[in-house]
Amino acid sequence: MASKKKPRITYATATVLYAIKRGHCYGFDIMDISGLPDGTVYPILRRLQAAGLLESQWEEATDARTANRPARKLYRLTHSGDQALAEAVARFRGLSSSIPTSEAL
Amino acid sequence: MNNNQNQLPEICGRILTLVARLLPEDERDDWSREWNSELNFWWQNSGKDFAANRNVIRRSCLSILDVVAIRRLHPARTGTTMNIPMIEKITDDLRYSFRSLGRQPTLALAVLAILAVGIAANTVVFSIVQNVVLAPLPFPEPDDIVQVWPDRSRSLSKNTLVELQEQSTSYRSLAAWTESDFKLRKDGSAALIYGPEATAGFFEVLGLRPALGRLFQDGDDQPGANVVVLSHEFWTQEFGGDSSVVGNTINLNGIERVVVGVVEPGTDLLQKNAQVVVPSYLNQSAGANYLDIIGRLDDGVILDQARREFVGLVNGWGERDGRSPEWTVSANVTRLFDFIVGNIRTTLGLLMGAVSVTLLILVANVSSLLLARALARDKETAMRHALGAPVGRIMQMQITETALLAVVGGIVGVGIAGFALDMIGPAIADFMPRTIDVGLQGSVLAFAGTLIVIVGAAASLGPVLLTQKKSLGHVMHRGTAGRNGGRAQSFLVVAEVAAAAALVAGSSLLVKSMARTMDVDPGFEANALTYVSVDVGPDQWERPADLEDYYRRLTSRLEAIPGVIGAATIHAVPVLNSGWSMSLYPEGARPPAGTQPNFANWRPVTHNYFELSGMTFLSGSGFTEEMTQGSEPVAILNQAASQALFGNRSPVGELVMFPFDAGQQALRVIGVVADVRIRGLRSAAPMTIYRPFPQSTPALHRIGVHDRTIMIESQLPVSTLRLAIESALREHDPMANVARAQSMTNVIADSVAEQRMVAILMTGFAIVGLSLGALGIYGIMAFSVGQRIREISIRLALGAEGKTLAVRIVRQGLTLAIMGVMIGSGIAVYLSRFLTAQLYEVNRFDPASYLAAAGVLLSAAAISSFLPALRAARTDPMEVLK
Repeated sequence: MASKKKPRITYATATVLYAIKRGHCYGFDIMDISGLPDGTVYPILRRLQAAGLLESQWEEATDARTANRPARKLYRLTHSGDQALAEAVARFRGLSSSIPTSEAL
Repeated sequence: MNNNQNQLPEICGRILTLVARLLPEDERDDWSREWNSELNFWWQNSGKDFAANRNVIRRSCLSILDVVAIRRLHPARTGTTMNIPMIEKITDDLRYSFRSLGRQPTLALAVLAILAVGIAANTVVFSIVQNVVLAPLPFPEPDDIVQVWPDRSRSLSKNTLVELQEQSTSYRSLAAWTESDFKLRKDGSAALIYGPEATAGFFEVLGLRPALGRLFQDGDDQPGANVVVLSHEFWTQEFGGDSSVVGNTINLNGIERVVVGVVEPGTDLLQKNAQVVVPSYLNQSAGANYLDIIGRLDDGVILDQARREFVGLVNGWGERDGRSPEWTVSANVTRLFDFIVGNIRTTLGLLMGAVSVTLLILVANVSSLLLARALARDKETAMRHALGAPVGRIMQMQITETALLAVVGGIVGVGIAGFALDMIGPAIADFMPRTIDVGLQGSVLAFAGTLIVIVGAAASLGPVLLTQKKSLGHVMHRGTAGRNGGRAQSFLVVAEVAAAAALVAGSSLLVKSMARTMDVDPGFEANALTYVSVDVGPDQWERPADLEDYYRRLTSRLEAIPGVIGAATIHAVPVLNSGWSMSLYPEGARPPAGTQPNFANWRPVTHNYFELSGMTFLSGSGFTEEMTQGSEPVAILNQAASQALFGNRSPVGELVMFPFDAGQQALRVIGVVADVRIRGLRSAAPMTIYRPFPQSTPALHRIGVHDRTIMIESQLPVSTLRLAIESALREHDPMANVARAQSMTNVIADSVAEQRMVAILMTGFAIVGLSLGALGIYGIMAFSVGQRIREISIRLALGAEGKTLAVRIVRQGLTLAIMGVMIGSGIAVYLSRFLTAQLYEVNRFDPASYLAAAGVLLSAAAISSFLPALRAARTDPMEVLK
């Protein structure tokens, strides 16, 4: 990916990182769970991925086929993503209480 | 749940495909796959209801923001796709606009509503203007088609047509036609259908082609050729578009006619809603002037040539036949288009002008609202400058905001216009002189589009011009709107008030004129009168006396209907039909050849008509039943005729000559009646001669005119009356039918329908203008009070009286209004020349109307500035200065 320039971590960016950490790894899931305006989530994902804080991959086609739907792209934190999130959690106190884990839903 | 609902709405896929095209090619597939799968997954897990549908479409649209983000991250790879920086700027600006307008929803909605109303009104009026005045007639080379007509009455006879065909060299073809209606008999029932009766050249002149079969050919206008041509619409509706109809017969007025063809679709047959065209036989009623003559100019012949030739021919015929007076009046040849739309052009021009002025007011209002907003955001703008935003960028943001408002308002406006045209279109079309289909055609949409651009540009002008590089410190310290902004707002308000004043003055002139018109005494008692036109079908009377007897028996039958007080026979309905005018002079005073004769309107009536219609006798007495063909020929004159022929002398007992239906016999004048406005309320009564029907019938019988009108006095509603009359008529003569029936009060109302429509619309525009003008003044005064609230508080705290402050504020508002009213009245005086044709007994400089308009506007202005003034006076200094 292009630049590895460290991105500015805003509250919205931190929310996206945190949502992924909590197991919400698809674009629309993040939109639904984070409460961020719909139009902002994907641009953040692109920025974080370009900065190397996220990586993405397509889910197994078989999983999707059993559920009778197209395969989705999932996002995961990289090591630097984890670090960035840790810094952000320390900065934005409210973050840890804002999003439940994917399993808790 | 069906399969369709399970699938993602189709539109989402389309949006994604479109958006994906903004990406570099190698990224499109991956991107589309991700978005498709996410939308699908989300849709499957949603309720698949209306809200979910809306949401999924909204999310598809938002995918564009993702694309913008991707493009931003890879600026080097823009390649061949669209210019992203521009799109980004626009999307950024749009987002900003949505957000900033969303913060002041009332203002945004007000602006949208104002723009929507203005654009809707303009689009509706333009659609009518476009269809009536701008669109050419739907014929090939329509400019070559002309109307040939003498000045006084537009009608000519078949003899004139034949002579013209023989002697004129200007035309490729000529034809005569008249509006008509027919009784179509089918399976034992009869329906009234409409269409012109025309000579063989009709279709050739118009340049029409058959969709099926043939149109008229030589010989079709000779007796015995019983043919008929169908309009395309009638053919599809009545015969289901069946091509085997050609060669079959249909029964019109009891005559079996062979259908020879169908006219091509999408054209005009001169008579509105024409369903058939029936040939008019040249030898029938050959001398009667009841036809319109149309011609197609030959190659290379210009209109003026044809005109000169026609005038020359007419003069020649007049001298030859010794009928000079009637025939030497100026004759004319005009383009058919001008002939048809000539009168309505000024009216529509007037409305277009008024609606444009209304739009100007709307734009000034929107501009002033946006300006106020820009001024209120002065600090924000200055801050942006201070943080390094270039002036151009800030201007672009403001333009985007206005453009967004203009586009949304415009689209809503066009929607409203479409709806309005659907609602009122048919009624308007009825009222127009040519067949039109008002709607949102391409040209109308193009007009609306242009309007949106102009309105957007005009409305953003003020805020944009105001955006100059400002010193942050200066703005922060000043704390109020700049002098420039205040001036610009005052200018807009003065402009608004001026335009509103012009509209209100115009409307008050028209309303006054309408009131004067409705005060006119038509000269008869319209209240209980209903006219019924009887269509008697083909000639069945050998002698004039038979025809006379036919109507005598019919009227007695009608008088026997319960609820009918009386029935009289007439030839032409007052107010509605102008009737025929012929020369009238005292015996022995025939006007010399070449001089303008006195034309009198000819009105044969039965003896009971004067009493039935409530007309007033000024001297002498009325007709009696004994005045028949054998007795002494008599006449009754109206006051205008008596005055013109005999001055102040009483004409009773004198002899007059009226060669049209009395030949060389002199007529004894037995009475004078008060004038009746037979040509409409606004036209002074022409000279009129009344004749007893039995003495006029021979002339009518000679020219084959058998249809008459019965005037009925009854309190019954027209619909009930019409049914009773139709059944009585069927018993009397199965071949006859009621062509038209209308109450005389309706006839009178219809006769001023155009003027009333103009007055109502102008008043509507004036009310919109007035309200917005008042709103403008309120806006600027409220804004100025709001901006100066600290200053006002300090003054109050230092002992100024609230009342004094309030008076000062009202005075400021009124000063603007007075300037506006003065400018507006000046404009109105200048523009009132376009109103002249609409005004009746009101001078276009009528001071009372202008004063009334000024009074209304100034009162509205006083009220509008009073409210902010009250707020200023009631300010609690402690609250503000705390």
